[in-house]
Amino acid sequence: MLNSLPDELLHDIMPHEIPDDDGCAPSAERRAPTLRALSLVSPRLKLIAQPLLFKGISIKSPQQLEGIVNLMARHGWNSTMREVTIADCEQHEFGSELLERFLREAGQGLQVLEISRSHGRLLNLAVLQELPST
Amino acid sequence: MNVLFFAPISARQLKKNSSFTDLDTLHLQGSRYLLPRPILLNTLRTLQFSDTSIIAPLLDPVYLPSLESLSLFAVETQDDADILSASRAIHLVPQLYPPEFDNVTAIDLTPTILRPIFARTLFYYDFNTPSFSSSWMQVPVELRIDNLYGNSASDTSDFRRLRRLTSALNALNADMCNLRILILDVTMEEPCLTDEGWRYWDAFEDALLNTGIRIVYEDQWA
Repeated sequence: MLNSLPDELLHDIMPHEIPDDDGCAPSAERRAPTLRALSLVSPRLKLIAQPLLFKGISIKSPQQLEGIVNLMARHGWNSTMREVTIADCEQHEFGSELLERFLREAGQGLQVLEISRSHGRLLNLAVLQELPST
Repeated sequence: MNVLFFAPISARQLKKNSSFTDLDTLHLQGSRYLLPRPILLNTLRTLQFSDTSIIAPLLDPVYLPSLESLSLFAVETQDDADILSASRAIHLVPQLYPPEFDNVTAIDLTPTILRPIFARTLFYYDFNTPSFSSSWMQVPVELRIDNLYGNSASDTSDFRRLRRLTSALNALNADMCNLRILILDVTMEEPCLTDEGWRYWDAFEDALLNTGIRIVYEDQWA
């Protein structure tokens, strides 16, 4: 059934098939299993489902952040993120340049941003004004 | 603590600084941030922060025209209160939903800037934290009390809490008191108390009757 639908319809349908906000758990955690499963069904569904995995993401290390920046640049997924949580700790200090680059390059359409930053160089909040709208 | 507030910004500058972001919610924990120039966040509706000195210059309807929800968890010290008082946060008050304010004891710290919000604010007091005082009980209209009892309703230390609350109610100055509603956990609606506990509870209810303060029960652990 899904395979007979055009891509445009799948793009519209798929986000509705994924639980969005019932207040029970971070939406990223709820979406991931469904989207991962859909990504395994066929290459065609993978192309549509995989970017949606990045709709809500939680980043806990600079390596993760760098990986996501590179992945998004490679696939052109720079307007897929809606909710991002970035939490640093003493062992995992985020470089402010990398954070600023991440927000500038991948922050298009970002709606919810939670940053916990107690270590490292100061993050220039002016970057928030540079997030492009969708 | 020195905080540099931005100079008034012209319409032309503001237009130049206009943001096209979709950002709706921003939580900034920690203090490793820098705000060197004013930024306009047109669409931001919810803001939570933990360092008043960094965010205070932004607390202005000019920069946050859509802001509806402001979590003031950061107001903990006299420095924080002074910074807020010197800011333009007061001008945000009309556009805010009743803000969350989990630190009712900060009332003593923030006499000027936050008072206009008090009438629409739900305050919390957790008996597991120190510094219970009747002075700030006069200010809010609604006050939620957490942990009036601990794990055991027969624990004498918990009765002490009930006695302190009763004494505070009896000490309220009726002419200056705004308090109308105390919100307690639903388990207090039909408390399971010893004879001694019931004596304290009756005294508590008498104090409520004398002051005209109503109790509302809610499931605080839901």
